[in-house]
Amino acid sequence: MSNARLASRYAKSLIDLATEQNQLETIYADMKYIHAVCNANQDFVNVLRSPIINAGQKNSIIDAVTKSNVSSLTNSFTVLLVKKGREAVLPEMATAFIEQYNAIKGIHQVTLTTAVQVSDDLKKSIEEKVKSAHQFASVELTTKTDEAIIGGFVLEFNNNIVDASIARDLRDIKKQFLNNEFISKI
Amino acid sequence: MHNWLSNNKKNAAITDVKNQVGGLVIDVAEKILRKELSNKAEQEAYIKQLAEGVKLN
Repeated sequence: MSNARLASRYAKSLIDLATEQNQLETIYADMKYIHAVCNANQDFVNVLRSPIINAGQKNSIIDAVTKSNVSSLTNSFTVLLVKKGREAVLPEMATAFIEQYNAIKGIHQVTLTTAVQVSDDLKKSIEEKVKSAHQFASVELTTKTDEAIIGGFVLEFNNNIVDASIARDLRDIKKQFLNNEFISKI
Repeated sequence: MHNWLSNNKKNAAITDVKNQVGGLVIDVAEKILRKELSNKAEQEAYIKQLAEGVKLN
């Protein structure tokens, strides 16, 4: 159902258009907004994907949701999507746009997982550490909390995971006690 | 030959005990660590210390 290639093509053209019109930052903010709306409100996504609701209705729904919060360029972009019958991929498009924007700007997404909420100071220092270790131009840090890791932290970036959690330490030690070399394993 | 066989059995038994004790120790260690790290300040101090030492690449 979702179409990543289609989404990234539309996103790319929107990026090109936005750069051409010097509105990249504005459109980026708009796409972030749409992304947030789609994440927060499943009904909106359902409307976009519904085959029963006709184009005119969809247009007015999208207008009602986004018009007061996005620029005219984004607005005409959504109108164009509806006209072309591609409104179903709007959520993916917003995601793809943000990804491509990050790639252009050299922004790297880093996810930090900890057992409890940590202070901003600590987040900053970890951010700096990742930046200097990998020569990232800039870093966008998202934080998650997961009690199951007990302590320490888990960092995810660029498809890498740095697991410095206590849960992992315990798991590693536990592994050493699982096998008994003196019993034949047949 | 019999000596070798019984030696092997002995080792198997010892390893089994070692593994069982190890498992128990880890269970206890997990409980203690959870308790030790149950307050925010301890967590942050630990993460800070960890972040100093960890190699990211």
